[in-house]
Amino acid sequence: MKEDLVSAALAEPGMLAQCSLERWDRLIRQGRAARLLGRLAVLLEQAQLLASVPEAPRRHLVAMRLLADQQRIAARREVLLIREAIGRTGVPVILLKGAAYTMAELPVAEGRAFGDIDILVPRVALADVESALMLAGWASIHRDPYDQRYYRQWMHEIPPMQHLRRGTVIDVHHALVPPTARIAADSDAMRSACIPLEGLPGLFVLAPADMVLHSATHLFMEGEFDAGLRDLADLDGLLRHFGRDPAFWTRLGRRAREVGLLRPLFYALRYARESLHTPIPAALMREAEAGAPSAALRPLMDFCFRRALRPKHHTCANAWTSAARWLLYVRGHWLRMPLHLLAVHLARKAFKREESTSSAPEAALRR
Amino acid sequence: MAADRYRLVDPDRWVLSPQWTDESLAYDRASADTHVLSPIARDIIEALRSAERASSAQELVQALAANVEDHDPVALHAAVEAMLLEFVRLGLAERTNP
Amino acid sequence: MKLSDLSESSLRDRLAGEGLTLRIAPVAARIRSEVPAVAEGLRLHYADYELLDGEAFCDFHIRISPPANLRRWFRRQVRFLHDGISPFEPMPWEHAFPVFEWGLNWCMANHFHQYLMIHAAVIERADGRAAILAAPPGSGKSTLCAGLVARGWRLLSDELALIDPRALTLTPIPRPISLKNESIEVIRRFAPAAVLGSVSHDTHKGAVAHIKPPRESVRRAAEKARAAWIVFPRYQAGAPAEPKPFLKARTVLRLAENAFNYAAFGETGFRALVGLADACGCYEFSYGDLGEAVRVFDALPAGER
Repeated sequence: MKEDLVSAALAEPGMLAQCSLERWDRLIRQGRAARLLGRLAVLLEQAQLLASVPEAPRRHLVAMRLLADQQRIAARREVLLIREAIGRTGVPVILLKGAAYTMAELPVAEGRAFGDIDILVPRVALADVESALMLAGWASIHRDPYDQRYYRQWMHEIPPMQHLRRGTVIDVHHALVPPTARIAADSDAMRSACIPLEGLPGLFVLAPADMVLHSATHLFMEGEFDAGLRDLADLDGLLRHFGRDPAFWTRLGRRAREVGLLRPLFYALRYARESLHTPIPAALMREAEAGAPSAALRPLMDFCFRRALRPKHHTCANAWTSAARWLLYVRGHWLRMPLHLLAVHLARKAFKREESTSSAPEAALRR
Repeated sequence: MAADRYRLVDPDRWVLSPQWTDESLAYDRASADTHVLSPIARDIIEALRSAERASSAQELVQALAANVEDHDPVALHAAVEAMLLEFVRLGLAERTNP
Repeated sequence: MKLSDLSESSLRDRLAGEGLTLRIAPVAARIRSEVPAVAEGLRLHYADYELLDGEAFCDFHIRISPPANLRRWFRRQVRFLHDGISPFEPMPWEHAFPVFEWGLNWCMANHFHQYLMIHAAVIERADGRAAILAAPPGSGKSTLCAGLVARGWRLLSDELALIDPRALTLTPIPRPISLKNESIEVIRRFAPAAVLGSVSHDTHKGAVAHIKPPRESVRRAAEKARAAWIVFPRYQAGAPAEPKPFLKARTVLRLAENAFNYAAFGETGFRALVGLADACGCYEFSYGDLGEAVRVFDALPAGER
């Protein structure tokens, strides 16, 4: 299989000092596909290597870094507006993923490409939150009744809502994992251990160990790996940051067992260490082994994840890559739905993929 | 009865363009919206910004009168009051308890 | 080595093979295509551009090729791919060269966020003062741009103003000027010496033809410029060519409307546009006769504060 330069660079930024322009060309393309150029720029800057990158590739790193910085400012602003909108209901809001990393000012947020804002609210408050958001200008994106039903029945979130004027998207979750999932995780325990954000009443983030476990669950128990390496880089960043406190590692293993998320933790540690050289204590690696899949299944999971956790780019793919991604996609749904419904849903998805949406060059240009 | 006094909610929230001859602009850091300011709106913002404490409409009229030639004091007072109400509605200014 | 140094057959071979690598300042692009119209368009319009070797770093990897589906059997089409991603729907085979141009614009607008990018033409007068012509399509911006370039103004761009958000300088990206419908005939009459490519009929914009950028503009592509005027042009049959001063606050809002990534810049973008409007003469400009319009531009007073 051809070289995954992005993982190599994230693991060891120093390797870029000797990089030929021809490799830089591949690295920028892979990094763009993986949405990791901004992050890479930050790591290079921290290693004081950015200035020595040849100008042509450096421009792309800097451009995406600038974009990520602005996205972070915009995300902050958006979170405050969301708090204002939901604040009237008195419902506590737990921020997840990128929004949490940004508002908690974790180093992993720096240079990170941003998408939607993810929040978690109690299931009983869902209707209040949804109407408070609608009142403040958000509306559901999915008008298709099938999509609406699918989300509401099988997902741990309601269909994404988009702000009518700003165009920003919010994903409102009511559980940390899908309610029907074949993994039984104790969402309530994680939820009740959440930590208030200083100076931002009404906003919370998950506790460090839970933040890692949620990130791992999100990555390894769902079926979309388009940004798989980006999410693995998040895990790497979180582990490196929280891991400076030695007590964190002990807590992490214990917590995974408590809340029933040893399986995703096993995967997270295994592949973060393998691809990104995340420093993980040997004791925790051994502890997480208890969450490993059976010996019979392990080679297949390795086969799939090692391919899906690369940048989605032809310069680091081979004939098996798309098969691996497809298997994980089906697995993601299998983990969520009863089998007979799964077949219907996947058939429908396959059909919908064929219908392409038409757009003129200007429309694409203005996006 | 003491007159209402006003102040800007968060003076650092706004980035102002230069004071061009007619309209000028204010960028709202909190919402990323850009607003067009009429000359009187601009003058009121500047006056509220530079005032050491919350200002009454009457004080603002006095501050502004210097910039407006040939003004009708009653009309100016009405315009300032209307603008302050608009600022409060937009969340830009707030009333303080006298 | 310039593209014009390649024979027609080796140009085709490169395009169909490992790719043709061109410096289209400020970027480098590798282009692959087996479509003859792409080779013809590049050969005509990009003759003066520098060829780079296959090892060079490329900002964009472009491919123009027929889509892999059944449709090709009854209606030939081409699609634009940037590094494997197809941002818009396939278009008729005959429009392959305009598709390349639109696609390259898309590449810039979606990746070059170190610049604040505005949908505008940028040209520079002999005295070193540049004008930004910002307007939505169909307003006569490109016609005016082509007219001024034919009378000696330097072409920085017909489509994209690349603004350094802090220094407020304009980075050139001289490329063919795209003319639509009646403008093609207007320019043929106004500037018989201008090199016009073949006309693509019935595109989603109507008939489209490109003008080759002047060699001198391509040669000076690395020289940045400073804006002295921001003009919102509008062609209007029979209207006298008249620059009307336009409020600076409104100028900022109009530029923001025509920008590709204003929102992504936040406060920095606001400050940049305010800075530009503050330093430039700002005008609305309607014109009915191109010759008269060019004379007015030649006489525009230096930007005032």
